[in-house]
Amino acid sequence: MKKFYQLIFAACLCLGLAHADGQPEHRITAEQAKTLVMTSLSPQQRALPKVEAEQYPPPKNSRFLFFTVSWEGTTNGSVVVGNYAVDPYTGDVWSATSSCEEETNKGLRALQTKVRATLHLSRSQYHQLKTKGPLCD
Amino acid sequence: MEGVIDSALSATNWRVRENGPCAYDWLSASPEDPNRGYGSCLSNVRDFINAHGADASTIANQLGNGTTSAEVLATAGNETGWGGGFANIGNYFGLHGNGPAGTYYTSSNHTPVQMFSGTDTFMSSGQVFVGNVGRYLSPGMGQNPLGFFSILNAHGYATGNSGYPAAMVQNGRTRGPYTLAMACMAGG
Repeated sequence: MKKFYQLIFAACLCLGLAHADGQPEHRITAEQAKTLVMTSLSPQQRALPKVEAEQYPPPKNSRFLFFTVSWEGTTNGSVVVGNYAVDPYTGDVWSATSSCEEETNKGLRALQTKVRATLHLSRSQYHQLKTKGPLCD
Repeated sequence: MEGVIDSALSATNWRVRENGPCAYDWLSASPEDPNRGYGSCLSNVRDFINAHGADASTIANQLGNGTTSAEVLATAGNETGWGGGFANIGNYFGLHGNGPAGTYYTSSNHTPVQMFSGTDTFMSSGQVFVGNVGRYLSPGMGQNPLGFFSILNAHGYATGNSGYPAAMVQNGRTRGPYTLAMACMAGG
């Protein structure tokens, strides 16, 4: 499953580069962000039937891209797996419900390394761009 | 704006200020401890509580068993990212299936999600939530938020995430939705 998401992500990156008039993109696309969100899930969450991420409109003046992850759900239960915010300039993934909780795991870090390289972000540039999450003090 | 909010909340035991720190007018009946440290009140959480706190209080009373408005608000905040997500279709509790205002089908897998319309979709979706989970609560359970969220977790909420109850009440550098709600309601 992880390889599947990595392949999708790589395809998204290629499309993004082709769209950029020869210049590297400085923002990731919504599809790339969605793939980052899906990769941030735990193995148990990714194994849920019909799990998917959908973008929803951000709060006013927010720099982040917001997603709800849902699954098949149960008759009297919730379809929501979680809500997440992605920084389009860095690829950082944050919880949209808990304060200052940055999502991380091995697969996500690997994808984030790739996307930051594609954006030609040096380590220092990344740290310059990195901000607090949407629910930080 | 503040007048509208105060008017809307006059029947409840709480009040959140539009400007400045949040405040909570505790009544002796409240099982929550206002002296516990919950940190500062975040603006979007404050806005969410201003908009839905009165309804959350009603829903908590309907659930009974000591359920608090903070637990209801935290549940809805977590389900919607504090008013985003499926709140855009009037569904504040992640409710599966066909709703009174129709059905939203997710884009990729066509999962049915209940839609609600009208002036108070928090309350109308909350009524379905009460019907779904109320039967699983037991007396006094609401006085133990970890226990409350454990019951939700066992009955269709945050399926696949056994860490959900602890995450909801987490406090410290990362604060869970219940702690964020309490921060505003306790005057943080």
